[in-house]
This record gives sequence, structure tokens and C-alpha cells, in this order.
Amino acid sequence: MVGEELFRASIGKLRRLLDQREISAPELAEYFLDRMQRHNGTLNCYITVTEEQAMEMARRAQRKIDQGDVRIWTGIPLSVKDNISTKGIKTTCGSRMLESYVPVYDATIISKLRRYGAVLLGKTNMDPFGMGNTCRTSHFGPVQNPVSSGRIPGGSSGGAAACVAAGLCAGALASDTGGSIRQPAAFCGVTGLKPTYGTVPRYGLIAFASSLDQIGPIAASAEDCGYLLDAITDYDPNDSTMRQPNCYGYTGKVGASLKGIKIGVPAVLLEKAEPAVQAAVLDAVEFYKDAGCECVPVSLPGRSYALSAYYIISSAEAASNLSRFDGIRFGSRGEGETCTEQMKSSRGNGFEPEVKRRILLGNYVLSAGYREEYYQKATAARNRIKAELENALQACDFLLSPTLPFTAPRVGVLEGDLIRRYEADAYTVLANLSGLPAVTTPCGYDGDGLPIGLSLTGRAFDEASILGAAAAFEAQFTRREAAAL
Amino acid sequence: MTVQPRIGLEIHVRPVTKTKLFCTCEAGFGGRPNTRCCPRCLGLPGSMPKLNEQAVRQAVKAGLALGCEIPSKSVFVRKGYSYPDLPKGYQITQWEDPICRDGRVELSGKKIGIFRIQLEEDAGKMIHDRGACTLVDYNRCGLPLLEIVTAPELESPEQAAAFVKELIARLRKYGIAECRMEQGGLRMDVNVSLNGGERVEIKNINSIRFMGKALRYEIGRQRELLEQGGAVSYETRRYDERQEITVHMRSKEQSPDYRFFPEPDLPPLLLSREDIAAARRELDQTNHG
Repeated sequence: MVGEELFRASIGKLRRLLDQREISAPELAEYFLDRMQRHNGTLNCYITVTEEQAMEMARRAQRKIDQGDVRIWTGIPLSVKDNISTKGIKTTCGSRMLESYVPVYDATIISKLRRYGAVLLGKTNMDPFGMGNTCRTSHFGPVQNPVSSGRIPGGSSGGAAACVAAGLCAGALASDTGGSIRQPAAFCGVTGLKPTYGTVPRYGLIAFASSLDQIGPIAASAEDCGYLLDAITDYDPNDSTMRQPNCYGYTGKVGASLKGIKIGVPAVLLEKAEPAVQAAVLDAVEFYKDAGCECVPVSLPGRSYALSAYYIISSAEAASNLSRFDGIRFGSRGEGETCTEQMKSSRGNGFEPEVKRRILLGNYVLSAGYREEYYQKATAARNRIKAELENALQACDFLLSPTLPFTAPRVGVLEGDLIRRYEADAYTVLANLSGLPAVTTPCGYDGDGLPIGLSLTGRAFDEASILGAAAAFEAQFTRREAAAL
Repeated sequence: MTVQPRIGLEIHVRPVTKTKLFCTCEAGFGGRPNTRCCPRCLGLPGSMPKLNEQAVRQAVKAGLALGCEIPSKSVFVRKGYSYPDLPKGYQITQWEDPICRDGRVELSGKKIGIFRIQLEEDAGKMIHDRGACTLVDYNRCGLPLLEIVTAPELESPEQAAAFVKELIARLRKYGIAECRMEQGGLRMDVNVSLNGGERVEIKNINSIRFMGKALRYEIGRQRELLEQGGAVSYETRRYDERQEITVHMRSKEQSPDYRFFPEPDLPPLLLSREDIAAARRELDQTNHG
């Protein structure tokens, strides 16, 4: 079976096709590279297409398949967000600062994927350094939403979500600091998972905010996300913030009964959502009730501090993480008589406006006299939010809410309005502040046919439960094709 | 005019370790520039620190050798400043929760307090004398340092020198540090005030002899100021070895804002009673052996 429909096949199905020799790994890679050639010009979801390396990896994968040395992702064509270091392949973070940066080492997850024969098709577009939720601010041009060309794809992993929605890869690896996986996945109508903090090794992920960043998958289904998470988790001594040793089997609860499961529904997140979003999410609540779940309201009073806490903490860490980009060892070097002048010009020219704003904000909230007023209060608020969510999850198996209170905005709406742009992160940052895992899957469409995301937030390291519950919903939900292709 | 100096020291020593503090590069001295570097100590994007357990053990031993308390939990922080020899743009060090605190060392019957010992990483080395360019050698970058901070309880340059000698003797005896001054293995910042006035900090002195000279000069300079009816205000100075004087570097207003915050890439360092007992046993063995 080699045909036009291959891009709709699940990872499980591609696995069977590869193992039964109905298609070879190089053929599969070529198929996706061909689709990329046809559609990437419009969508701009890839910054770099690694055609040659992909074919070489596919040939290696085929040898493994022939030898029977196969993992679920052997020979599966994947995309990688351009903030994950790939040895010998440009890794730009979507920024002018790193437009020609080529890492000398592979991120831990890339080494593992290479080892077991995954095929890396290319590096996906993103808002510079992960700072943004529109994917319209990349140095390499804006990404189109495959669902509707007049709408933003969301960000920062807009390239990853768009290439999954458009079938330009079988799955994507991205990162989520405040919603960067879930928000574009929701806007593009696909499934995305932010794993528990400490599940996936971050070594090689170019840090935005180290205490919030986590690598995770975007794919066509919750089951595929589970397979991809299996592919990238592994205990890594290089990342001292990892908390879980080898934990495989994230698809273990796909197909399991939902009977007796208790779901918490934070009323405040539902109330603030647009009517169409509310209606779709309430339908999902009904689905879970019919499947034998108990749904109870949950209150999260600390939520009102979440957005401020997030922007203070993430900007503080970003200001520090990005201070290394001075144009001396990497980053484009600017002109200047003295060393300081040179650094100023490198940073002045290299960083995009949003990046500069966060560096300024971050340095401000950490500076003497303001640290107590901002950074420390934000840390206290973060601890409170974490405690509230964990408390709610002692009584409930997981929490259910809209991923965002609205669907993909029109191009131009968020880009010009800083406050609305920041406020758009209000729901998604909860999982990052608390470190908890959260999955988004489409649960309906609004009047304009735009997808609505359903979010399930689980207990720490219990990705299997939320992926299982999301898969159960997906099994009875009819998704629409991305229309703008 | 008789004056009563009060002197406090911040002493940086390089503990004996096989590797650097946060990576597995060899902890050597000299050699071809930039041959003992890796993504971590070069601060390459995406790299993360991994704490060297031998350095932790040496720090705990230093604490025990100087009568310190060893808290069960200590925290690494980022100290932000921008300089080409510091590739990450921040130094990983300790601040409010150091690995050792509240020690004391007896010096001819007088007890000198140790405020704290913190574990931190060294910076690279700038080379200015090779033509038009300034070069940077990162071989030293990321080597472990113990910063030992005393209370301002030393009363004369002679006492300060005696203290440093005692400190070196103990660190050598227990195999904690070799304190080889010619290799930059012992560097000091000296704080001195007269008659309970404001202190002046003299940065980066690299031998006991220079410390004595710097202190004597600085005490003389401050006394003269007081005798002329002036006042000493807080400032940072450096010792000019050739002219044998201290020179103004910056005032309080000019001192950098380090924007400290906890290092998110390293969880707090937790030491169990067994860890500390093991370090003590090691210390005792060296003592008897």
C-alpha cells in the first residue's frame, strides 16, 4: 500500500507497513519529502529540510528493519523543532542571532532517535527562542495555519503543529515552556503533549526558561504522542533535573475502560471561554460521563496569579539563559571598537523585539531591590498554584478544561496587541508552573470551522492516563481535514 | 593616631579534583589553550551542568577541617555578569545557602570565625599580550573553586598572613587543595576597615606576600585619610604589584548588580548524615596517615 493516503496513517500503521515490507523506509522518507516540497513553500513550517541526512537515516533504518532490530519509531519520518540541537545541522531557534549556528553535539533525544533509526526530515519553524504564541515572528518568516490561511497557527511550535496537521511528517518533537506545544496543536487541530517536568531529557534543548521547558510530541493522535514519548524518554545523567528513570509504555492505557475515573473540571476555565469552546468542551464532559466517569467541579483560586508568575519567572530565566549570546563564541558578531560595543551591537542586531522585551523584563525582576518584589513573589505564587493543582489531583484522576478560551485568531490580531498576546497563555501556563503533564486534542469546531482544543491535565508522571482518556475521546470524534492545503 | 584595623578575607582555593566542577573535562593546569573544553564548560547552547561529586566531597572536607556546620541542603545560584571569559554570561556559585557555614579556626589562642564556604566555578583566562586581539583560553573555565569567607576578625596584616598560612597547611594536610599560588590555586579578596568605619575591598591578590603589602599600604592610606579629617567610604580597589599601591576600581554605586537566582538546571544539593560522616572518615584517615 503506497498511495496518496499515507500521510493520514498512524505511527502504528506505518510500523506495520514497514515491518510487512509493504513500503521501505527510504520510500516512506521520500514520500514525506515530496509532500514537503509541494507544501512547505506555502506553509513555511520547516526552516531547514535535511533531505540528504533523512535519506541516509532511512537507509540505515531499513537495514535495522531487515535485521529485525526495530523500535516503534524505526524508519518513521519525524520533524524536530529548531531549538533542539542537531549535530551538523543548523539549529537557529527561529532567531537571527543563531541563523548560522551549527551545533557540535546532538541533544540527548536526538542521539536516542538516531540510535534506533528514526528519520529526521527537518527542523521546524518557531517564534524566536520559543518566545511567542503566534509563529508569525520567526526570522525565517511566518508559518501558515493549514486549517485556514487567514488564521495564525499559534506558537511557539507553530511549524511543528502545522507540519503534523498538513501531513508533512508522521510526528513532531517540539518544546513547551508556557503552552508552546499545546496552543499551536489546538489551533491546528492536532494532538500535543507537554510531559511532566523531568520526564524528557532537556540536554541539548536550547533553553528559554529552564524550570518550565519540557520537550514533548505533537502528532495526529494521543496514541502516536504516546509512542513518540516512549521514543524520547530515557534516564539521562546529563540532565540533573530528570526525576523519572526509564519509564516506558505511555500507550499502556489506550483502549482501557474509563469506568470509575474521576475528572475535575475547573469551573473558572470554562466560564471564561467563548461560547463555541464552552459548548464543545461540555460535549466532551458528556462523553466522559457516558463512558462511566464522574465529573466534579474544581476551584483554582490561585489561578489569577498564574500569568504574572509565569511571565516573571520565564523572563528572569530567559534573561540569564540568553546572556551567553554575545557574538563572541556563537551568534552573529556585531561591529564595535571595544568588546562591550561589539557585544551591544551583536545583541542589538541579533535579537528580535519580543526577545529583547523579555530580557529587559527578566533583568528588571531580578535586579537588586526588585527581586523580592517580583521574582520571589512570583515563586511563591507558583508554589501555591502547584499545591492547588496537586491537591485537586489527589481527589481526581485528571482535570479537564478548554486548552484555550478561543480558537485560532485572525492573522494580525495578537501580533499587534501585547497584553492580549500574553493573556492568551493564561490557561496553558498552569501545567508549566506546576510541572504537571497536559495533553490537548481536538474536541469540536467553531462556526468558522476552526478546531477547539480539549485539555486533560494529569498527575505527575501519569502521562499514560491522560493519553488513554484522550485516545478514548478521539476514537469517537470525527476530525476534519486541514482545509487550506 | 592609633587605629584598630579589622580584616576579613575571601579566599579562593582550587580543590583537588580529577575533573571540572560541572563537566568531565580534565582539571589540569596550563597546556595548549582550549584543549580541555566541552559543550558544558564552553556554555554551548543547550548544554547543562552536571555536579562533580568529588568537588562536593572536597568542599565538605574543607568545611569539617575549618570547624564548619554542613547544612543538609545547599543551593546553587546564577550570578550574572557579562565578560568574555565567562561563556554562559553567569557564574554558577552559591549565595544564601552555601555548602558549609559558621566555622572557626583557632590562631594563637584567638578564634577567627568562618562565615561560609561556597562551591563555585572558575572563569576562563584572557590573554592580552598577543598582538591586536585579546584571546581567551577556556581551559581554566569551569574548574572548581572553594570560596572561604572569614568574619572581619583579623586585626593586623601579620595575623591575616598567619591565618592564610594556617588555612593552607590544613587544606594541604587533608589533601583538599594544593594551594599552588603560581598556578592561581589561591587567590584572595581582602576587606579592611579602621576603627569600625566603612570597609574597603581589595580584589584579586594572588600571594600572601602581596596581601601583606596591600594591607599595610591600605591601612596607611585609610589612616592618613582619617588624620586629615576625611572619611573612608566603601569602594573596591585593586593591588598594583609594580607600584606597590592599591588603586581605585569602583565605588558602591558602580558595583555590578549580579541578579542572583537559583540555578534551575541543578536541584538543591542534599547531603545526608552518612555523606558527611564519610567525609569525616576520609579526613580522619588522612590525619592519621
